[in-house]
Amino acid sequence: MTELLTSIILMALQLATVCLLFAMLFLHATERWWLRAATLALGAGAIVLPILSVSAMLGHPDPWPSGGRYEVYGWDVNESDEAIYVFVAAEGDPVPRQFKLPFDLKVALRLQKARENRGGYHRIDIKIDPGKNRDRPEYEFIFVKAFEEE
Amino acid sequence: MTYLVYMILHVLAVSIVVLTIFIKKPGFRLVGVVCGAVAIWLPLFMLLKTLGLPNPDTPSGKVRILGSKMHDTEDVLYVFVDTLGRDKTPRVFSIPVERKRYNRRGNAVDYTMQVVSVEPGDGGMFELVYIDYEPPDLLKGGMMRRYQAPDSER
Repeated sequence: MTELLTSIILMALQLATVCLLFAMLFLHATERWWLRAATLALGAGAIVLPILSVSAMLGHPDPWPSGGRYEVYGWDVNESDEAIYVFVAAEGDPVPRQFKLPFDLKVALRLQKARENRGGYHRIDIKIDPGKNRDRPEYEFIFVKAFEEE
Repeated sequence: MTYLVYMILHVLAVSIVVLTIFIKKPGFRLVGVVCGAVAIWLPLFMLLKTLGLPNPDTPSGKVRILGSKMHDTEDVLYVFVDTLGRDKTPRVFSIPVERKRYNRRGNAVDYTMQVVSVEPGDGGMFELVYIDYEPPDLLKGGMMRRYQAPDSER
């Protein structure tokens, strides 16, 4: 939460610095040394602030996942936030990422069962469809068992 | 990679705006306005594009590992962690870890649900140090659950 707040404040500051640069663009007395110094300082601020803002949010979940099939490497169910966080990697992509999905009790219970019996699964995949409502993507977990049931 | 491309574009856009402030020519001003507009929106696109990707900073303090994945070719371990009370949202980090060390434990090494701290090791690499973690006892010191509290109406 702290990182989110920091990121929002830094984004707002970045917006303010670019707006001030716009004002400088239409100012006709930039020959004054202190206005030149202020322009350079604002320029530096406009460059550095987004770097800090984006860095603060790196590693946080993406609530608008892109569609496709991913292999699941981990998950966390948070009923109070009504969210299921998944740690996934797309086929052929070496870098995994984290998605936030809407909570579903049936899926949460299935995942709990899978955690209790981790060795029983060869792999767990997830198929995500962003659907019409971007805030509530549709998804389906695919559990591939290590041993076929007799 | 995406992050770097967006960052370079952003630095370019802001630099052009600053240059156009000092070069007082009518045509340049229009270029400055366009680049300024780009500089306003680029960080937002950058943020949306990079959400969910691993943070290259190593996690500080104790974390509970919820999942992990070793990079296919590089010496980088990606971990999905619970920050143990900082807040309820898990995070993803990329930690430089020696592949040999990871392989020695076997690819099926199960870090899951282990509480660790990430400590610097040799040659710029890091090590995951296991911690015998005991969750705080909420009933210690006379604390009680709500259902255990005496009824105030009685």
